[in-house]
Amino acid sequence: MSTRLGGSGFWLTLGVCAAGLLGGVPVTHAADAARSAFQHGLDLFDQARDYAAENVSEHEEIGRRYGLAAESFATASAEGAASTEVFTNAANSYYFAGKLGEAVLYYLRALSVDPANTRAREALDHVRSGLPIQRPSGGTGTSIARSLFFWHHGLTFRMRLASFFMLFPLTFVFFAASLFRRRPFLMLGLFCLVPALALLGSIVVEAVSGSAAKKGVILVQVEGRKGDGLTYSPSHSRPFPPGTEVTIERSRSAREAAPRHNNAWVLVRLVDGSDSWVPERALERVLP
Amino acid sequence: MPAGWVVSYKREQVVKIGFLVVALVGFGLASRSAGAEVTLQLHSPLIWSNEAAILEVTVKNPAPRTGRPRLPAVSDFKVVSLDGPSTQYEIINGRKSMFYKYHYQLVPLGGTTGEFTIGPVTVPVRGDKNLRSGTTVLRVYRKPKEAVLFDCKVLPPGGPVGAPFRVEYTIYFAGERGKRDDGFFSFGSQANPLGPRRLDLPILKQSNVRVNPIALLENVDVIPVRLPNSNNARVLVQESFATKDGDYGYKTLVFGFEVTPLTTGAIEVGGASVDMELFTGKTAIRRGLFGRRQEVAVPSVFTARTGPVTYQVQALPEEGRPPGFTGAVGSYRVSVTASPAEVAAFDPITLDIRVSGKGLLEALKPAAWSEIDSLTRDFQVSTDVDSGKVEGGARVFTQVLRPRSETVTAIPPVPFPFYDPTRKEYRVAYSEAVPITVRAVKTVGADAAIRSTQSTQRPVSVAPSIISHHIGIGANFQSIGEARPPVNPRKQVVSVTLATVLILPPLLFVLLIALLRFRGRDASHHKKSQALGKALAALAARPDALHLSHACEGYFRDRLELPPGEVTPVDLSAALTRQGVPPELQTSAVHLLERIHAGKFGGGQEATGALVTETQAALQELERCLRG
Repeated sequence: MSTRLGGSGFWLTLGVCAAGLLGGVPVTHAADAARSAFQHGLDLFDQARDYAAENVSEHEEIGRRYGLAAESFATASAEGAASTEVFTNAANSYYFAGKLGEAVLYYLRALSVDPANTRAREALDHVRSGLPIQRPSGGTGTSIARSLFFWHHGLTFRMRLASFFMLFPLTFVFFAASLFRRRPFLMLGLFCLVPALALLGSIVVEAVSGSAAKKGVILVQVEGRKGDGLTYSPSHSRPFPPGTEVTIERSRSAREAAPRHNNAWVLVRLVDGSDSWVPERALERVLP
Repeated sequence: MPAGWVVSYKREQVVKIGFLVVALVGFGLASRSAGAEVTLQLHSPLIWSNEAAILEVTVKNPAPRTGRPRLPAVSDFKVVSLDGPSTQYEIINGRKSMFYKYHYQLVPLGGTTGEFTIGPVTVPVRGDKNLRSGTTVLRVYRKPKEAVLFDCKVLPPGGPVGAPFRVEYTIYFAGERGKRDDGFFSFGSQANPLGPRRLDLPILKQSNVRVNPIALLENVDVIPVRLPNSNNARVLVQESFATKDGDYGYKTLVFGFEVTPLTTGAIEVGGASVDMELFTGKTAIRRGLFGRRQEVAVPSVFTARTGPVTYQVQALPEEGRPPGFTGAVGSYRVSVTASPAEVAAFDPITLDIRVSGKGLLEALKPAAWSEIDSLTRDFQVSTDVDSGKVEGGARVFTQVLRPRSETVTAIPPVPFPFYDPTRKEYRVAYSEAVPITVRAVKTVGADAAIRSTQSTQRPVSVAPSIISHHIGIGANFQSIGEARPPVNPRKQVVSVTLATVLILPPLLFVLLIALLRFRGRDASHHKKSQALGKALAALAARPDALHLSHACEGYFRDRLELPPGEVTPVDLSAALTRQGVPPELQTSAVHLLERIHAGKFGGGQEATGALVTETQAALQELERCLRG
């Protein structure tokens, strides 16, 4: 008996038990909890919508109800359902609850998971259009550059990456074939190589310049400063409203800060290209 | 020059001079006829006890024999005549006035303080009645030590959201204000003309309020000042004098704001601070423009801060809240235009509802008209109302109504409920009723509907003139989706997958090229080894002169690595020599090739058969020799 337990059967049994204890049960529980929270969020959203239709003037209560729906969706994402659908629903709910900061944050998270999510993209454009700080439209040069580098601006990162994964090996397949039969494989290889290199350049540029890890959203109205403290004068004529998107350039940790100011400040770049210092607690990173 | 002309010229001159004299006399008489009077004016009605007041006595339109003014004695003051009379003229609308101005210095004696009446001043006029002025009041205060104080008041201390309140700031200072004179090159300095070097007002940085600068004192000059450290906000500063701490007098800078709170809760108004430069007698030695050392007064910087002052914004009362109220605070009027005025029942009518009046128009929300019974009784009221836009001092909302029946003859007065903070009560503004004409909707039975369908013309497909792309908040997703990690371009680029895709295909390609090159060298060897077999096979297959020549030359090319083309006896001899073939074998091979060429160009089948046999033997012999 002991011989049999010490054999392969023993290890198989132990592995199954360990897998069940360490991974299987919690995963199932988390998935159920996420699904339950998601469904609850949908119900709360529908209830808030019905309430809003019947009680148009009760803005605060309407906002509170949409807020509950948003929190339920946020719970679903925290329980493991970090899908673009859940993030989009959370953002929609936050928008109707009047919390533009959280709405922008969750739309960006939805797009970070799936850049092809047109629903989140259009909603985010809609919310952005109402914010005071706008991305500069650029002149003719920008327009021409966007037309010339259409693949960089028009295709999502995933699509560009997939296209590169397909075209680049195909290029060398054609080149290899051209060793045996020059025409038409050499020309086909060159035709594949040019777009593959263009896509590679676009991918590298995006990776170097636009790291999502540095993106953040201001959640509460905050006055930007010219330095990392309240003693500095405001950097802009008006405070930044919730929903302002920023790129975190540099942060000063709380330990570096003076002991009586228990705040960390971050240097951020706004979408219009201007810089400002804001308290770190006023913003949240898109990728937590 | 003719004599007549001289006479004529002189006559014209006389006439002109006559007119001038008459005009001057008339003007002089007119000025004399205007009433003479004496007025007093203090340059500052409030002074400190250690400084002098300047009194200006003005005699308007004095008579020719008017004497100097006589000031009555002022107790505890020494009166010193400074200058005068200085003469000034004024012409307003053709009316000339002349003024004599005298200046006197009134110096308080022994640090006296209090309120003093100056005047009346008497001006003697010889041969006429003396002129007499009114009186003026001079207040003298004790001067405190050089200091700056800052005070803030809120009136009233609390109120409902949307109701404006006043914030009044007063900077008290004692001493002469420092000027931001940095010497010769100070033309471009943007120093505050009033003295404060820095003024920090937290109320200007609050986002939940609307702030308007106001002047607090009547009949006092207003100096607008921009604050660069507060978003370039404007304040209206007035200079004055005030007492504080008993009979100490301070010069003051007064300014204020009308603040409208947009949200409920406490608003911190205090915490304002100011830096001011005052001369305290401190001096420093500086070099002038031409290098000369001179002693100059140097101001000291004083900082003052207001205490905490809080304005409590209360929520609007629940009691008496009218239906449809959405938070408007102020005092408003409402007017409505409807379009179209004639519709069929259930057709939409668009109302442009203009709300104007006192209040925060930019924060105004549309009333909940779908909850107003007077509207919903006869109309379907859309709940989809735009947020409105501000146009010419009014906020305009668009509301769509649909009349429920043809019996409706007018849109009833549209209400706009608001809270009036002045009256502290809810009120409702009503528009005028708008007459409309509603046509009955013709209803048809099923048969008629079928007939009408049959008789309906075929629909004509019309392309839309404008295709617009709408953006906005989309519907929720009903499925939970699939959890995926976020796309992080940097992580994806710095990954094994991309490195593999980037490196592997070129690497494989290079390997393939290397392999082919290697195999290319082997092929040459292979060609050599196969040369004899190939040639013998060819001879066996087609034993004619032409193919004999081809097979034999092919063998020599492959085996001896000769270039493509015809192999001549000379080429063969040279190649065999390089390969170290014995001379007798070389000779026989060259001779054989010459015979094959001769057979090829000379013809003859018999000869060709023997030649084939001989060739086979010769090639085998040569092969043995080459391999050996």
